Amino acid sequence: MGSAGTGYIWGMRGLYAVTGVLILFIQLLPLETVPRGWVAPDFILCITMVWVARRPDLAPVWLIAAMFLLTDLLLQRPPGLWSALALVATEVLRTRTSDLKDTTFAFEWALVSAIIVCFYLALTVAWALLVPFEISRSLLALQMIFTILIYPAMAALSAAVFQVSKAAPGQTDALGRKL
Amino acid sequence: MATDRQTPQDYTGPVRRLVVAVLILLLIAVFALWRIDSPRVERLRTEITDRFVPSFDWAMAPITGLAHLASDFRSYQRILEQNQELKRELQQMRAWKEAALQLEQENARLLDLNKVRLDPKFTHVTGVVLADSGSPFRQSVLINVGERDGIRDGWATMDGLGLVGRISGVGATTSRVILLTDAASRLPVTIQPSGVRAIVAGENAAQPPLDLIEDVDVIRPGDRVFSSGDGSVFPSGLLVGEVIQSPDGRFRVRLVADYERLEFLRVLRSHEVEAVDTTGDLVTPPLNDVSASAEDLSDG
Repeated sequence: MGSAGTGYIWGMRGLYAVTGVLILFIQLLPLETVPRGWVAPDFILCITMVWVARRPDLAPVWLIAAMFLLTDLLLQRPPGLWSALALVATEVLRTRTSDLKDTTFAFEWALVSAIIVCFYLALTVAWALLVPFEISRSLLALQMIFTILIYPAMAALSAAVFQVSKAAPGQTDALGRKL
Repeated sequence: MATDRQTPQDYTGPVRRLVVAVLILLLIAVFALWRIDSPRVERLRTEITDRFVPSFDWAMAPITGLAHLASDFRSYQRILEQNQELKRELQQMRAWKEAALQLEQENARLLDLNKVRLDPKFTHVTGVVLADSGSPFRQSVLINVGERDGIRDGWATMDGLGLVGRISGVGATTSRVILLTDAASRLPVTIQPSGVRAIVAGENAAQPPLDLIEDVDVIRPGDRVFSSGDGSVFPSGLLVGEVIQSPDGRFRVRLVADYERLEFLRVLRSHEVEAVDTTGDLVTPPLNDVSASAEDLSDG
């Protein structure tokens, strides 16, 4: 494991932002101009959940807010709604990261799944009440399921490629604080 | 400081909670602002898209090209039968071309006889598709012409054959085209040959249904659908597609534009047509003249 110095933390934050923009870029490629009956999982939400669950210090709340607001603006979603709910979801997860430390992956997955389900329920309700145009609920439900299913793969990928996994017991940051 | 060291990962501290609350409120405020003053926020969105997407164009264009190449490559596998198919089609097309030429000449002669002035809608600007909506819930594309090229909101957009959508959101160098398949798209159309009016109501499906059909009994699958120009948003007479009937009995439109492959789009300049918004006045001499002449009459 790399040392948890300030440079490392900022580097990883930058990596989070770059990954998010890369996902956005791939989504924006003009390859899907016909409506399809299926959807891709929400990769940005998923990777954010992985990072918050594993290393909350590498995905600070302001960066998540900025990332989701940019996504909202570029993907023609009502600006702010999706981001506000995503922020609430990640904060709920963040306050529980200390409980996740010594548990199995199954527990982590279950917790994240519960939060994602709540996120999509809240989104559907808020959308129906507040947004003047319709969103396909079946597609939204499908996206929720796919996002939950892709979580283990994203977690494995984050651990393998970005070395984002739970801090080892006793690992400390530059100031000697426990992680 | 000391307490700070002891609780480094305290994600429930009061200051942090305040920061998070402020951030969430800020996002909700953005949303509320969008609900209250949508055009302004949408303009901001267009401007951000205008900055962000073209800066990735150098990477997007080759990757999109490669993806298209790959899908083309798959079609090479049945190149022989495709070739024969094309030859057959070409034969048919020659016949049609002949017919079209004759009709065009006849049409030109008739127009000349009638001294018809053609609608200026037939000039267009062609743009390249830069990006799609990026989300399965919205159907739109971003093209690389914008305010700089004189594009305005609401103009019709076609591919080579048929109507694709309308401009909605114009940045300096890009503009967004809301496709006919988007759930927010409504297009008034005329169905030929019966001349029945209807609305093509997008619903995020590849073949949008026909809504508010004037007379359901007279339309048949295979009828052709043209934009009607109602509501004076679109020029009339642009080909949209062909009526089909889905298994549930609903009439839908098979769009003639190739949505699988939107690469170049032409934006039709529709210059605003002067509207006649007053009723005709009576043609009379000016009022004081009338009274003067009345005096003249009484004098005389």
